[in-house]
Amino acid sequence: MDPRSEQQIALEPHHADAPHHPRQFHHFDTMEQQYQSSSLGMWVFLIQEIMFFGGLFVAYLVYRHKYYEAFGIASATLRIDLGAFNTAVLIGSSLTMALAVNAAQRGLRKRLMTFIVLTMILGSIFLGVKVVEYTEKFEKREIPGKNFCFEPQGAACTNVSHAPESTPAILQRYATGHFFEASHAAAPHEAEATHGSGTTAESTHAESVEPQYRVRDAIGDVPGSSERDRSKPGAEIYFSLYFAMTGMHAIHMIVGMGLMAWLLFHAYRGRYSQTYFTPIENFGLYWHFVDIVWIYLFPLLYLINRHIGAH
Amino acid sequence: MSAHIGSLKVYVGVFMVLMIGTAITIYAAFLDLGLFNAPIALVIATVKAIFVVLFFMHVKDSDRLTKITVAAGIFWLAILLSLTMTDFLSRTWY
Repeated sequence: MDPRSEQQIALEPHHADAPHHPRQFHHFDTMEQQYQSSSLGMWVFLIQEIMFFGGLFVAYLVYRHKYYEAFGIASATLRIDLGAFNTAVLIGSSLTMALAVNAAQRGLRKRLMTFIVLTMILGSIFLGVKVVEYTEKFEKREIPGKNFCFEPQGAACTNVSHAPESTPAILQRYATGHFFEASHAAAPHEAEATHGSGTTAESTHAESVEPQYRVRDAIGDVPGSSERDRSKPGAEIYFSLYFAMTGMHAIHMIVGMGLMAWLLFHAYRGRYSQTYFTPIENFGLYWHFVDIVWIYLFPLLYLINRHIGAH
Repeated sequence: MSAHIGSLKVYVGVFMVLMIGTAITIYAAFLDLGLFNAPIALVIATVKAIFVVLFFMHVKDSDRLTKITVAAGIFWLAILLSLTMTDFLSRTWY
């Protein structure tokens, strides 16, 4: 980074011939042109983001149509109160971001910093609620994969090799490399020890996995299978899309939090003024885009088929 | 620079519209509207998105180039959604 002050740079010999704004790059004629180029670039990036999320939304649309019932049943297991709360929080953060951009345009440095901090706080609350929601899904094993368990009525899953675990236990198991098995079941001598003492949950593991997979791998109806079994592949696809879409949305928010920390640092240093606030405005566009994605995710993932339970 | 400086009243007004829209969409989700549940939810979401794009993202007061860019993006998204679904909905094996 150039240690000289902006005033010093502006007084360099070549600048003396053609004085310009300290933030203007030489390949632009005016600040106006530089601003418009930057704005257009940001919008083109956001169009790319629309295409990126659009792929996920198309996948959702196709499978929502194919597994209509299963999507409704799976969606009903989400906590609508947390989803609604998060929607309000994200809309609020969009408001504080709009006010931050407004403060930057007016050259109000302290107000700009205040609103960036408020936006970061609201973004943190959103991500914190998401942690609560994901934790619940992990503990119930409603995670697509080998141990996927979807029993909204509370029945035990036959393919799950062991009882539901707490999140610290799951993290402990992952840390020791046992991604699919409980760590005690993976160690042979310990498994034998529990086998002898009559614990059934672990011992039924080997026999029960195979038939369950036949049902889950089937696309569409399996003759003779119950209504509940038929909904399983669709429910697993629903949760795949749920985690892909909300996860990708959350990654965008985490990136946004990092960018806001960077903007806050430069706002504190006094980089932005009434004549130069492009980074704040472009980040605002990004944050509002992330808000729009959630505006669609909330009804598509949380609110489908809620009226069926009302009967 | 010619960037439009919006009024605080407009921002708070848009925020209120978005919150009311969220409340309506939750209320509508619990009503049995038959085939219309999904379209109504999507229409409300689209109205909310339009408010965000026009006012929070300043597209209403931006230059024509930005407006064309946004319209092109939405148009391409429409192609992505509609052509994919016409294919899936018109096949017997699906």
